[in-house]
Amino acid sequence: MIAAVFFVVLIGAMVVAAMMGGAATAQLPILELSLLAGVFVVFFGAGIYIAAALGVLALAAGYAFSDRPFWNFLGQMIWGPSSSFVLVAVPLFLLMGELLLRSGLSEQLYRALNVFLRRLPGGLLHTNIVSCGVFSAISGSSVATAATMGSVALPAFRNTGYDPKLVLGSLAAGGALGNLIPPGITFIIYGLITETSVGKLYIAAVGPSVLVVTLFLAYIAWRGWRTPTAENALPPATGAEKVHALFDLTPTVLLILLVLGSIYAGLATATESAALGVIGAMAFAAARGKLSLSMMHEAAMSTARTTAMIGLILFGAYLLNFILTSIDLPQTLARFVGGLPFPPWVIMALIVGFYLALGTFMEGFSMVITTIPIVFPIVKALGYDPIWFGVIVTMLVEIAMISPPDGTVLYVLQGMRRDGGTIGDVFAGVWPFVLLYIGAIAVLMAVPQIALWLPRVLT
Amino acid sequence: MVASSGGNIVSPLLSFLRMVRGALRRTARAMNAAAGWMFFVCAAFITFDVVARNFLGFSSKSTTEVTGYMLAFGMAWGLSYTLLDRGHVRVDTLVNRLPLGVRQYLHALALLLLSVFAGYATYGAIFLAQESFDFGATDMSALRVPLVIPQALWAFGLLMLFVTVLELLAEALVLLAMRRFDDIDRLVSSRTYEDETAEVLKAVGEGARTERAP
Repeated sequence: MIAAVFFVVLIGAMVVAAMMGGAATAQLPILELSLLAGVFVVFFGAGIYIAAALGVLALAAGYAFSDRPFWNFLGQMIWGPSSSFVLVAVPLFLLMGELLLRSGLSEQLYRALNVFLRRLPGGLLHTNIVSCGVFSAISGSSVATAATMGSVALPAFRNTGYDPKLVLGSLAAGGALGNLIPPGITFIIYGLITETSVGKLYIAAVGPSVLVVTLFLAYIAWRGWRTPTAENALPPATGAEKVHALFDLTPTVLLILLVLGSIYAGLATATESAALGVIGAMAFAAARGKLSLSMMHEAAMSTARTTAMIGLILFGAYLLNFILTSIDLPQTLARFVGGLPFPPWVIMALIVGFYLALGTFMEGFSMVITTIPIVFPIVKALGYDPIWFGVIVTMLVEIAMISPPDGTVLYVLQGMRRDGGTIGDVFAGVWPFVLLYIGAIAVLMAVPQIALWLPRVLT
Repeated sequence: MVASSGGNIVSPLLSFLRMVRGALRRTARAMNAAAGWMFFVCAAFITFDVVARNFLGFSSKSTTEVTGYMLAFGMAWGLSYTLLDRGHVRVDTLVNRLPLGVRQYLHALALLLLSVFAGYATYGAIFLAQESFDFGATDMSALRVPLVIPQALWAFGLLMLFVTVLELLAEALVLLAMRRFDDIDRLVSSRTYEDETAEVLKAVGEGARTERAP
């Protein structure tokens, strides 16, 4: 819905740009571009497998434009991403998340954090955001984070005075931190395609993560301060309770230190820290008596499936990218956009809008893999920092997942409710958070240093 | 194996295809498990190398290459099962709102295009492995691994995907001819967020259940 409106605006803007562009338009392969866009729309609308849409398009473009026997290079093209050491981090982080999901970490985390946060204005709602944030830092998937924390948190709110809209909104918002807070998988895929350092992306994500979480917590505190709930009058936690909670939090903190600490301290690459994370997660599960062959088997099956899903799309994207690059399309497009008589931020705002729109109907990974090869050269030509843009894209993917009326995370939460309310509550509850998230992107566009300062200091 | 509903005699072709799918599914499931467990091996291997490098002062000097091969193996051997499990991504926002009668042709089209893509990818992969074999190519690591080994295993995963797509396509076409649209939907429509949520909850529930056990 939002998407359709935006695409009409975007096409209009491109027509205007083409007319204003004058000389630059002459070199732009309008025919190829519109053909490409047209085929994409038809394929995606018809529900073709994304990988097949990309791959078949690549083959068609190859037969049309290439005079070499390109089919003999296909193997080499897809062997590259298949055997990339950077990409090894993806299945390993997935595996770590799958193991932790099955180890009962989420409940323990929620209970322990609650001891410290429940007396703040807004009470339990802070626990939603913080535990989602912590969980997402080790799971890296928004849907999994929302579903897991929802299953723990929703029962905790039953028969309390909290506004259900705010409860659902805060859970959705917390779930949407999944890919932004390191170590998210979107960053690895972005790093692979654009040949930027995944470690640097993780460091750059720290500032924006803090910004978004702070905005969320401040909003909840403000709402809680205006309409206090009975929970705020609870007696403070006893010393024993706090010690117990700290004890419960220790393994989680150790795990985060192991995974992120090893990257940030420069001791390990993202792939190596992911491997350490898998071993750490196994130790965590073993300590809680959850590690068994059948549990590991479930985690392995699930990891292999998600990896294959991402892999097939990467194959298609690499083929298409190979053919497009050989006919010089991304570069031409980048030169054209770079030569437009607009300030760069206008183009960037259009790109941001494009991702928001696309995200309403496309799954996050596929969106990044499909669009980055085309969009990235434009962004670079405009003079933006690749690391900064990686953070922006990841935030946009996250916003897409919680944007009414299409966000996946919202339907996940609605599906888990037992109070019989409508999806309208979830929409109403999440809107303030979506706006805050978009506000954070605006801030990041105005002050790129929020993302870029830390990588510069550390390297 | 042969299920007859409402007195219809199910064509022998369909039951043959279902038998083939059953066999493919069992094979694909085992391959997917091998892929998943390979990632455990991969994690152990990298961890060992990190520890050895930092504390024991030696390294296998081939982690980058060997774990890359493990990834290629894991990625390719999971492809077929992921398809049978309806896990490959399609944009289905529009498709799901179309009437069943139209949707079925789009399902068949999706499979047809996937078979074209998978066919070319398989051809390319086998061609690459064949070339590595002919030239006796090895990698640059300390182990000098002949590239044909990882590439042939990888190509086999792609071949398995290709065969699976062909079977699904054949089955979809037969069902289309028999006008059994519901069955095609069940065969290939993509997983919904309900499926995903149910799976996460099952995983979490598994954790909670063991926790309560003494």
